[in-house]
Amino acid sequence: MNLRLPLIPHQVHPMAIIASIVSLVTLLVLAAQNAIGNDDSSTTPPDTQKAPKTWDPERLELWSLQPISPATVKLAFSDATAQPTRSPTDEPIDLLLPSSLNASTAPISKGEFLQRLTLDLVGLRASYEEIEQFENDRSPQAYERQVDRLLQDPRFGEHWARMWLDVVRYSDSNGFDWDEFRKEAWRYRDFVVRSFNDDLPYDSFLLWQLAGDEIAGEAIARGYPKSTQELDQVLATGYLRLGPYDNAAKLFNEQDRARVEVLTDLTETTGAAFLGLTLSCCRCHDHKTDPLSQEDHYRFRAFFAATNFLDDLSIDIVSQDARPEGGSNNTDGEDAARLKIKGFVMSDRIDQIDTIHVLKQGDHRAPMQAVEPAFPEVLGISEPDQVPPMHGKTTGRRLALANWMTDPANPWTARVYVNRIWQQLFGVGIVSTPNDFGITGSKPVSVALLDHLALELIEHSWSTKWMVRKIVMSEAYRNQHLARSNANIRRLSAEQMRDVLLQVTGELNQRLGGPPVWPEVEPEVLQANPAVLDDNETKTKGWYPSPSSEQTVRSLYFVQKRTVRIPWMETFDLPENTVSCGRREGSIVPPQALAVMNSEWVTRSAQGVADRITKPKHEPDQESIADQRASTASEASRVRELYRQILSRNPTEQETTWCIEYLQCRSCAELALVLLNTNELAFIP
Amino acid sequence: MSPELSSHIPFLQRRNFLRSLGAGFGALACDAMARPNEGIDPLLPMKARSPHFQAKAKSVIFLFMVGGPSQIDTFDHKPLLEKLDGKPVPESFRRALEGTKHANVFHGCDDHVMKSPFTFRQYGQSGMWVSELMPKTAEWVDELCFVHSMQADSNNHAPASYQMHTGDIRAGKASLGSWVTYGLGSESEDLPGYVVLFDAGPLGGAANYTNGFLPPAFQPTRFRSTLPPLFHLHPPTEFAQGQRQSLDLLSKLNGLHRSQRSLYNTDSPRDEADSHRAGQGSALEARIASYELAYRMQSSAMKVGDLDQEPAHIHSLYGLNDPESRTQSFSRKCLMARRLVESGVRFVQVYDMPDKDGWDAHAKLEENHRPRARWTDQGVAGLLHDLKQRGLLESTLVIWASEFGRTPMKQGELGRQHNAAGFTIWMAGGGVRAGIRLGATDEIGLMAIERPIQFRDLHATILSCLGLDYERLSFEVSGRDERLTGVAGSAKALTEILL
Repeated sequence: MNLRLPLIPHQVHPMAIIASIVSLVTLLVLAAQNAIGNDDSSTTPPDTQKAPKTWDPERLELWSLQPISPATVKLAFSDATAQPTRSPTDEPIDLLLPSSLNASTAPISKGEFLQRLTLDLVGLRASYEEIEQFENDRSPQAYERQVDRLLQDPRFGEHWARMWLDVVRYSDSNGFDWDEFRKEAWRYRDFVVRSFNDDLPYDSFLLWQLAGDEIAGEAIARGYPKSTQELDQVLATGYLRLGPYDNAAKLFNEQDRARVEVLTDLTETTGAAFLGLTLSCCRCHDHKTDPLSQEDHYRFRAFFAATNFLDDLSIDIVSQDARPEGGSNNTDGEDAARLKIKGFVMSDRIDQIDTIHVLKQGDHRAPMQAVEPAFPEVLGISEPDQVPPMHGKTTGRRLALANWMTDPANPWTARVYVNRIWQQLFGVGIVSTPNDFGITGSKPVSVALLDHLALELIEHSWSTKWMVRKIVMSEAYRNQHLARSNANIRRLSAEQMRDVLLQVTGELNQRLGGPPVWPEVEPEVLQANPAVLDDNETKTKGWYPSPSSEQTVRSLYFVQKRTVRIPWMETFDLPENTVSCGRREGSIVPPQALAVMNSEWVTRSAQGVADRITKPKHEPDQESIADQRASTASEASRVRELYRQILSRNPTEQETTWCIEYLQCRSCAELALVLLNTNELAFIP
Repeated sequence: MSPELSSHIPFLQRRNFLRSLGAGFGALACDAMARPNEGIDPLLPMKARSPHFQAKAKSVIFLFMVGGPSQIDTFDHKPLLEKLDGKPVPESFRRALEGTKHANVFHGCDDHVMKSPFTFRQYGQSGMWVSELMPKTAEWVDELCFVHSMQADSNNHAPASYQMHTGDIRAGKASLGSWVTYGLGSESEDLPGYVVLFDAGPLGGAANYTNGFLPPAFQPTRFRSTLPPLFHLHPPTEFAQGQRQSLDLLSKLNGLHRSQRSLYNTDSPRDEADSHRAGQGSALEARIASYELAYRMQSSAMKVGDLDQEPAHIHSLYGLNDPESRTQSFSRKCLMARRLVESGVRFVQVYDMPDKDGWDAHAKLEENHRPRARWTDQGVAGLLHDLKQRGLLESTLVIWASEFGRTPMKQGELGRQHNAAGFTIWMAGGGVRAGIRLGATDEIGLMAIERPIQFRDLHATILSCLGLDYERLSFEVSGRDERLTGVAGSAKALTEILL
């Protein structure tokens, strides 16, 4: 049956349609109402002052506004394909394969496949030994075992956290003039890593970030959390204060502007990160293409109206269940074992709730009518269920927002998130504009596929790991020809590039979590931001390089300032960290080649790996390159060792011949450097 | 889901699906640049592109004076200040300002007027007034176009500076240099198209000169005015000697790797999706090519960066032999800017700031401004002179500007507060009329009253000089066509000053 859902008139919330069993009659009635021309007189509640905005039908047809529907999967595919036995996840694969794919071309090898999986799940490479073991594992569960192993690897959380930190424009500093260091911001970053590793359900992950303080208000009032969960709920609210903040504005009587910018940023980032809504487009006027009014923007903003930096508030970050029995439970704060931290909590000031006005042209000096918190009107429900929590410390506004967002009937939340997961695994999402599910964004390659995955996510308790596992176990991900195709070639991100170079040369410091590491940076880079030269007593303005032993941690742990970018990383296309980045864009430019060929640390790492291969039994000494060259040890075996170490495989005969020829006049370290520069290392297989 | 899709998917042609995929599933590293309507070659994003219309300027040198030099002590002569020195700001000026969005300019300063400690005189055929701070630049006033009525939307450094560079007081947008190279590419094949020269830079840091939302190919490259001019330009000595052999081996290994991945017949793609996919495969080729380009860049960057190749009279023209190291430092950047532009680099951003204060004279204006003017005056004049004598000034737009100016009111001990309500910038060459002035501040230089000009208008003017239609030069970000001149479409190029 070719059932077309009627357009959903604004009076009816699509959630209501899913939530209740909707009869066809109802739908037809609604459709009829819509057709009559939106006669609001009978349906508008009497206490509504203003008639809801009416949108032309084209806007209301926007795919992402429609309920997530399992029926559409069947409608779209079961009739259309000849292989009804395949699961919906597998269906689109037929459609994804290009017509001219030459199936006779060698498929991706087993080893390469594990390499791809490892890079996708933990962001680092599989070692020669891991690949060898996988290749020797002939059991049908061999692949599955690898997937499960990698999902349990704590490096999984590190890699996936990076994706989320891009989305929430994570930074360790304020931005603007002084760009002061936020000493405690890393606790939010570690919360994100932990959440991915512990597979915190995405609905909780969202809820805690938007309203963790509302749930754990008692902990804030008490001054310490009672459980690690309560602690994480507090730390998660770091999300609310990650945005840039012009703390110098008050010197110029511009604090109102700075405050409005914080709220604007929170509104726009929250819309983009969780809902794929481009609320930035309706800040100055109604949205040009989507059914979002300027009032919708400010009503959404009103959820954050009481939210303020509570810098004076300190909280003990050792939770009660992490404390030793007895002794350290007193709450007077004098216990030396306790660790009080300040300056990271963002919560409500219930005595200071901003009145949110619609701003003419988005200008804070031109306020118009005041608005109350409400969800986008097009969804039909405008009264949030706003109940202040018992502890009385917060307004309940953000909690209402988060509850609405995590309602399974919300048409955006699950779709937007599964799309991010898909993108992380395939390079491009089912919707290729992950922060824009509106009319100007890309249409999904398949709505049915997206909806199917979104519902599966909800049904499986919003489990990220479950979804990742499902996708990497799918035919779509495992198709050897597709994996091998040029279309799936992706260059490593800046962080992966650096991490992989350190990993394969044996230099990577595998420390997990903790305060950010400050890399050594050329003095002229620091000078380029005068604020850094203005160091202060509280050590928030300067640059404080960490000991060299810590310099080789994963890039995730590098300090992420807003005004100073680490040149080596910047070359590989770091995104701007003041606004949400839904997807990394990449370039391939000559300075990247210079960075890997010439930089001091890469060449030093190349020397290191060569030293370990040529002199495995001795302490590294002062043997010169010339001596190495003269060494009579089997060159073939050195080449093999370097290939295993760096590319996790044995060289082919051809490669061995070329490399031996090269070693006649060049050193092992130079060969290592060549291998570090290969495309094989720079791209995900 | 959209009714269109839901009802038609069963009948969708395979091909259509593939076509939609071409823009989605298969896209990768280079795809961000492959926006066919912009004519950007994904493999050579910096390849020179035609402007929208006949351009006067081919390149830009932007001299950014960090911290807010005072307009009333340099180029905006206000004789009334003499008379009012030490007196309260006359009520009329105060009221006029307080009625505007710039009222906060009064915040933090005394109510009393402070006259300029510097003497002014007229120069050139045009009779422009310039203070004693800039005697060498003053010799070139007949080549300059002054705009005396600039206004910024914030009176604080970083937001105003972001706005000067990107059009927005919030960080995160794309800078002028990124926009220009996005629009035009670069004439130089083996040098970066958008170069930034620092000692110290502007407050607010990297967000000022970032590519923002534009593809990373249009990010700035940091150049030094000493050798080697680029980071990582040369390997340590033990890796240097064999570099050519290493690159040859690398090329062979990468070629082998590439050949194993030729799944698609790139010569005769069967349909659009195939050709798109074939293009994706060239990410591997692009990276292979980038190593050869990098190898060439090593020598071309050294060549352009070697200021010793310039004759002695050029060194002294710019002030490279000046006894003061800060003068030398700024002068070297000016000379480097000329050499880069001469080599086809599209956009050179120069920052003067030799220390953390810049021109930010909240106290002791005279002690702040005198040395800074001295350190920069000769480099600027030398650059104008040199561009002129080489015939490059016509095709090079030179801009001298800051994030704002300073108040006529005194602040602290003989200092001046920021002033976003009215300040001066100048431009020269590249399509702007010479020896003219546009707009004016009130009689005490407090607020622009004649032809107030916003940064977006200045940006529109700069793009116009380069042959770029500022309304057309756009980039879609999350559903919005972002432009350097703003999404509202309210910018207007300063047509009176265009040739």
